[in-house]
Amino acid sequence: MNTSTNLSSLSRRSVLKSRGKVLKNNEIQKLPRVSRERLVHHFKATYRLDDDQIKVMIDSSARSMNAALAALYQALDENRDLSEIARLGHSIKGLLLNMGETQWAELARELEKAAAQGKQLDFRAIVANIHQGFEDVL
Amino acid sequence: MTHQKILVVDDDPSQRLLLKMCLQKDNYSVTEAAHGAEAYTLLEKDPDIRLVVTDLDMPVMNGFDLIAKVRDSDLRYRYIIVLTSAEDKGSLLRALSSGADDYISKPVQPDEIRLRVEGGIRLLRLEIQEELIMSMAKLAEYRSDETGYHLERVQYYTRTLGRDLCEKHPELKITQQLAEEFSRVSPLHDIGKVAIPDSILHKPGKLSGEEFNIMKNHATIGGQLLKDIFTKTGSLYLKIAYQAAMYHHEKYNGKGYPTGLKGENIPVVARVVALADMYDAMTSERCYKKAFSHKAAKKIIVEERGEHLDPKMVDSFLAREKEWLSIRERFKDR
Repeated sequence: MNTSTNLSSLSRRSVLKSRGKVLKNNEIQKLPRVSRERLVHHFKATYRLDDDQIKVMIDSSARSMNAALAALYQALDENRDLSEIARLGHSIKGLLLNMGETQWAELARELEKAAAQGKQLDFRAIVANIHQGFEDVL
Repeated sequence: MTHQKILVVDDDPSQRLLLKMCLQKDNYSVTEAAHGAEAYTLLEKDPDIRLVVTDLDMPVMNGFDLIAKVRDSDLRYRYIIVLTSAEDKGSLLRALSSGADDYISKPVQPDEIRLRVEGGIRLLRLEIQEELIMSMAKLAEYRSDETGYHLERVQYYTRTLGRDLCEKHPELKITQQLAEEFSRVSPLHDIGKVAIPDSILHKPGKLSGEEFNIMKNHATIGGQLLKDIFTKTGSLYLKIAYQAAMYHHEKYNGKGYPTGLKGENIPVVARVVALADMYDAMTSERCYKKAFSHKAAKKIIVEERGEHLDPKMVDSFLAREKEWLSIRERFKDR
């Protein structure tokens, strides 16, 4: 699987200014795939949820992720305004933070920020990257 | 046992679910809404929901509009906590200026949300205490002869005076916020009248010397009561209320009661309420007298400048005379 997508349109300056580590040298850094075990551990350790609650929470998060990714793909297919991409990026970032996936959330933050600033990144590549990272739990 | 109800507003079901699970662990009863419009409808229907945790970016009605709508409405006060990303300071400021009370940064941490919610509940309890105290003022009003809109008029006269003094007399250190506070506590100035016997309170004629001495006790009784609650709670507005109740019958020339304080030694709120109360007493009908015209009342107020009344208060009254008249007109007794 190609998890290192070239983002040639991203300027070096913006990369240097970026606080994140997930976009480096115009490439999306390879992030570990998300597993069910990792999510179980997060919801148990951070929120002290019991097994039944964790199952409900993971199912709900997966549904929300699917919906958010679908909305992003659709917005990109329809060439929607960048502010809409930023808004959807913001939503997906919140979801990822709740799931304890801070590095993936950082990638979503980069997407949100670039879209909000009107930068023409390869947004589709980022969305596809997140999608692939979560395939095992969706 | 009833549990505190909390409304969680977010367009994302998993975000709502996570918050719900966190809050239910602490025995809160959680209601959900997917956007601001749905939340507002729930708040209209259920006055027992006093605490709201809301996202900002939502379809149909966003969090900013929800906050503004709740604050603009006549609904009971709701404690509103906003969910926000730490980096989004602009949105946070906008939410707080719209009337949000607090915020939680995403991702939600269970301990943080518990503490923020507990803070909100503490504030709501204080507000309930305030409502109770204001109800006591209404009770005192029902018992006395001053039916109708006496408390409302005094409240508005006090606000008008406070605002004018804030602009013209910086040495008095009355801020706009303090002027509002004066107005808010003014209904409590006569609360001590609950302890005055009916035969004196409702006497349709002039009081004898002994009766007047008993009547004068209302200032000390009310003042002491409010001072005691202030000592127990530490709420600053109760200190201001105590000063208004205890000293609103003091005179600028030192010939008033209960302590004979003089001039600037009389707390400023008491000097403000003294004029507001005096004007309303003169221009209203009572069981022992007819209502004076505005012109007659104004004449007496001017004569009492520097005697009964602080000259600054009288000058402010004269400067804003039209506003006083329109308040009198607006809250006319039947």
